[in-house]
Amino acid sequence: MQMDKKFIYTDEELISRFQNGDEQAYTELANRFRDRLMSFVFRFVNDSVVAEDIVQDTLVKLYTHKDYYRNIAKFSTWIYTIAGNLAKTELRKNKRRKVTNLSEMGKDDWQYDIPSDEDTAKTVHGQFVGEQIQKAIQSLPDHFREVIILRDIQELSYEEVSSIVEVPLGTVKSRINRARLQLQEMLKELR
Amino acid sequence: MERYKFEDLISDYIENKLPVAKRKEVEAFMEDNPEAKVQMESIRSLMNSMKNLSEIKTSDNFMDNLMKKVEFEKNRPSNKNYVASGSSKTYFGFTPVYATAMSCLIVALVIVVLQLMPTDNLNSIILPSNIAEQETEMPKPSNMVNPDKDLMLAEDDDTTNIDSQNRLINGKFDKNIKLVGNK
Repeated sequence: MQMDKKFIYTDEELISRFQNGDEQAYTELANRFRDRLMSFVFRFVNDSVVAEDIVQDTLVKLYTHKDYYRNIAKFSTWIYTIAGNLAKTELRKNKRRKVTNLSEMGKDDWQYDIPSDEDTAKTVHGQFVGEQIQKAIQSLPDHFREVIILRDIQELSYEEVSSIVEVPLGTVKSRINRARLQLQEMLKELR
Repeated sequence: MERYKFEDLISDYIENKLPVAKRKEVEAFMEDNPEAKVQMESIRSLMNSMKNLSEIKTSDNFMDNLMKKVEFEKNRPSNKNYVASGSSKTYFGFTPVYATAMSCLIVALVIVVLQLMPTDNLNSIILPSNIAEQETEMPKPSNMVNPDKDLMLAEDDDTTNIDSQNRLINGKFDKNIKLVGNK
């Protein structure tokens, strides 16, 4: 079946077509979600190779378990839940690995040379800030980390986050607020 | 307003989800506590920074590798049913394999129970129908007594010698039989 009208299909329409045997719909879904999921999982596990493996496993599960999706929830919520669960499983496996704790970092860790060129300086600063935020996110407890990534980096609604992590809306809001406070505390020297 | 209350409301304030009255309370607290205002702005800035974090992309050969994995999964015997079928069929909530296994188990269980059941009990349970069957199926002995002549026979013979089968009609004792005792 031709996918020349692919852009008019919603995610839910695509999964429905895939459930009815349209393999092109699967490819389209995989292409739509690969980078979004990669961004989410990488922020979670902090390892691009592992993150890519998890994203691939997520999309393989989409292929093998396509009939498990029921059109009562958004497709994105369903696929993020699968990816999040796989990422959490991976984190549990590697629980013993060392996570850089920003609170233990010395002053030298925060210092860097700013190049004279203003644009380059901005870029470097942006990269540096990004790295520090990533490190700070890694030091959050798992249940804070997941919600803050989904809300502030993936920019999903509170309702979607609640569905993905399968906890009540009020708990999600509280966790996000507390995660922001913790991150702000860890990163306040950066400002 | 206390500090912890202020911190609880920071996200709602930044995302404009507070009612006007609460919003004014928060603003008044920030007026009185400059460090609270700094904290608010710091969190707002952090949220913007997180939004603007560079996107992490998958590698160029991501789709090729994915399709290889999908092909591998397709050809795995354990997954063939998942992948091939349009919908997952179940029988009373069991997949075909489990339904077959459960059926075999139930049949085996019934056979075992029948084997273990004492034969005496079995006979007592099915006796009435057995008797009816015996009457219809068993060949009648040559000295079968005509029920109409029972009264005469009872007077001439010792009824205790009468074959018990001869006294049964339709699984019941014939009321015409008279026991006269031993001579």
